[in-house]
Amino acid sequence: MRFEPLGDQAVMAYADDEIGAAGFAARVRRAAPAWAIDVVQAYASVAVFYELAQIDFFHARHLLTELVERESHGSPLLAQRRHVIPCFYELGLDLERIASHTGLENEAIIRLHADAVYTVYAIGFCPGFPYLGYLAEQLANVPRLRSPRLKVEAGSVGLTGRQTGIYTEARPGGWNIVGRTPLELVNVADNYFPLRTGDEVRFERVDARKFEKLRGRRLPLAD
Amino acid sequence: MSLVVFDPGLASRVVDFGRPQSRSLGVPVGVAADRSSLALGNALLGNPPEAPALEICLKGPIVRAEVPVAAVLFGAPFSISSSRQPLEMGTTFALQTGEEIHFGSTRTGLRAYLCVTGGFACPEILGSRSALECVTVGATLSCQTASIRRRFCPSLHGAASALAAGLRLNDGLWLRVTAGLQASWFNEREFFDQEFTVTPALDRMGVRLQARPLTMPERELISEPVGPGTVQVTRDGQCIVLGMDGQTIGGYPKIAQVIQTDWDALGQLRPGDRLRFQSVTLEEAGELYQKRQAWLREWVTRLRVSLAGI
Repeated sequence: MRFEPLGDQAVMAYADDEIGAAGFAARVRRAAPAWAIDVVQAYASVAVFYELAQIDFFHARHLLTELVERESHGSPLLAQRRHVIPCFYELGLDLERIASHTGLENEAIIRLHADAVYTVYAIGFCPGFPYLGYLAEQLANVPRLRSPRLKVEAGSVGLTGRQTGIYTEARPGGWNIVGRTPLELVNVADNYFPLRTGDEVRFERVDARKFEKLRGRRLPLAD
Repeated sequence: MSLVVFDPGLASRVVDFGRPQSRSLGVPVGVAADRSSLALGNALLGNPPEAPALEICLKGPIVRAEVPVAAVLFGAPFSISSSRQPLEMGTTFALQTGEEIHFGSTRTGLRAYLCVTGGFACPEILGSRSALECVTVGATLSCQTASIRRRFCPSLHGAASALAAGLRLNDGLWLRVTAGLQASWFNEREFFDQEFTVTPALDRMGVRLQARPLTMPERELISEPVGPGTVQVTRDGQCIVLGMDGQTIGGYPKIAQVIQTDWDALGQLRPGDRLRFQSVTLEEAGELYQKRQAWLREWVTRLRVSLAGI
């Protein structure tokens, strides 16, 4: 674990891998030191935001180092929840583009995307947007669009590099759109954030009828 | 019913001190872009520093009072007018039922805060009353019925607090930064030795700057957490400074971090402004922050005490 300053507002912790980062984030949240405002994980990094009026980087780093040393063994992670998210792949605007980059047929792209089990490695970009990893090798490394779309519809499922993700709200965006989920996956005003870092996500292919039927629904309670 | 919005202006929205713990949900903090101006405006009315106010930006709204309202506009020196009385930025005023006020534009700075006695009553979302969207035509901003005598803050009168804090020096505007997490990927001389121009691509999410492009590293970053004040360098070698509604995770390399002391000044940057960056250490950033907080606390206390004395 390496600690670096994110300016004068947070300690950035770099772990060896995503699991290490998740464990560290869980430990800090559990310890809940009074000076720590927020804990944000993205892949193998975790930012611990602090209240500068109460503590500075050097002191915060010291306390986090102690926390890691004290609890480096056998700390259980947050319970991992599993979600199945319906996806209508016929709304995959960039299937052709993905096909030309990967050399795969559309059906093979859809099968590979829907067959994998993903982990939520970060929530960010826009409210509730899950960064999911990792794509099957054959689907990886499709670059972002040369020029981002001005508006990607809410529910759009995109991919780029080794990641896939869901535009929970309409936004400009440059990921390759592979399909769309009918579900509402965030509602800030209603404090609805069903996906959390560390959760497991799988996509389930649905047809147009089911897409219409599920439109605007929310995720069933995860097990 | 309290204030009705006839014209929303360019980007007016209700803000307070923001959401404390929303970053891990991908929701930005949403704090007022110039917190000091919000706190000082509120202090003039006897409100707590974080009472929700309407942040106005570049071109202000037109609103009508449905009940008597006590208010003040504080921040950048916007023009402000009513058919019934002369009004001035930084001086409290009482609105009568039916009175309409026009907020114009500002020659310097970008934002100001329309504070009302008791603050605007808005729904609380994730621990804050900052709105997720700008106000629209016909919106109603609820607040208490109140009246007030004319008062203003002598040495801050008519000036944005960011300006009052002495950040706008004779030789131009400087923002102080600590090293970004990927500063070593760049030739920092290129960054510190030139002047940047603020482009019109500017909102609460971030400010896009224009300068000679920086030499880009041949490396890719895995997305990691970012925060307000993060200076990202996009593929074209240009810089974006993230604002108070900036994204929570970013994949562009970070060359610098604007220190918290200068966030108010960051919130007052307007298109065409020219600025330079000055490097400070984390220790200096900490000291500057304590000083700035002490300065703000002192003014807030003085204003509230003098109000109690009336």
